[in-house]
Amino acid sequence: MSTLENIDSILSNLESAVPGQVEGTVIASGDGFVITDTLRGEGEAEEVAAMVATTMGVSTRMTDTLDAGEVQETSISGEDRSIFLYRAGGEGVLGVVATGDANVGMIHLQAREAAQEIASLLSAPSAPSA
Amino acid sequence: MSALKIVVSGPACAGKTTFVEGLTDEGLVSTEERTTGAGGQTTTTVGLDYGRVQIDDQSVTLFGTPGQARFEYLWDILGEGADGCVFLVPADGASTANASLQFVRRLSREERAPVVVGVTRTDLVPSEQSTDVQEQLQPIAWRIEEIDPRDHAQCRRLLAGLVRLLRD
Repeated sequence: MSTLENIDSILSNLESAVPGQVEGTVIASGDGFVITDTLRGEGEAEEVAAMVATTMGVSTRMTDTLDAGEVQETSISGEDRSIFLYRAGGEGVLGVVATGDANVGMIHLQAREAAQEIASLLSAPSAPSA
Repeated sequence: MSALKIVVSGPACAGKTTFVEGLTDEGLVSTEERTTGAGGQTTTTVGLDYGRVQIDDQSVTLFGTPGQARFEYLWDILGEGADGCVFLVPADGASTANASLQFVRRLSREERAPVVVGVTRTDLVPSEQSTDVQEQLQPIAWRIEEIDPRDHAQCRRLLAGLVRLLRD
C-alpha cells in the first residue's frame, strides 16, 4: 500500500471508530496544501487546508509568545459543529470536523492516535508531498 | 493621532515578510511555514506578519498578508480598517497577481486607503521592463517606486512617504 492509501485507511478507521460523529477529515501540509481528505463539499478541502495552516501557524505564534511549548492541538467549537486540529509531526496537520453532539473525549482519543500514525507515515522517506 | 494601520500586500515572492521584518522596531510576529510544493521560496507566510514602527512621531502598525492565493480569505480580514497600503510586486513576474490586484482595488475603493507600490526584484529583469501588473496598478497607485525589501532605508522611505500623505 502506498503512503497515501495508508493515510486514507487511517482516516476511514477514525471515522468508523466514532460512527456518525465525524463529518469529514483533512490532512493539510504546514504551508496549507491538501495531502488527502474526506470532506464532502466541492473544493472545500483546498479552502480548509489553507485555513488549517493559518490556524496552526497563529497557534504556534501564540504558544511561542506564552511559552507554552509546541502546539499539539487546536479546537474550534461552533454552535452546530466542532473542528479539531491535531499536529501530525512536523509535516502535516490532521483536521477533524465533528458533529455538534459528538463525544469529544472519544474523538480526541482516536484522533490523537491517528495523528501519530500519520506523522510517522509522513516523515518516512517515501512520503507524498502535497 | 492614533497608530496608523498599514497593510503590506501583494502576490507571492514579492518580499512582504522581508519588508515587515526589516522595518519593525518591536513586537514582530510572523507566521512562516516551510514550503512543500515546487517554487523558489523555502518558506511562505500562512497567517500574517505584524510589526510596529515609528515614522517621525507617528506610530505605525504593519499588517503583512500572505501572498499565495489560497490564503485569499485572510486578505479582507487583515485589510479591514486599513489607513493605507504598501503593495509589493515582483518585477520578474515570479507569481501571478490577479487575485491580489483585485484585493488592492477593493481596499483602495472600500477603505479609501491610499496605495504606494514597491516594485521588487528589479535586479532580475532588464531595467526598462515594466510589467502588466505595474500598468494595471497605475490608476490606483499614489506612487510607484522600485525598492529592494532587504534595504531597510529604502523600505522606510517608501513607508514614510505614505505616512506623510496620510497625515497631511
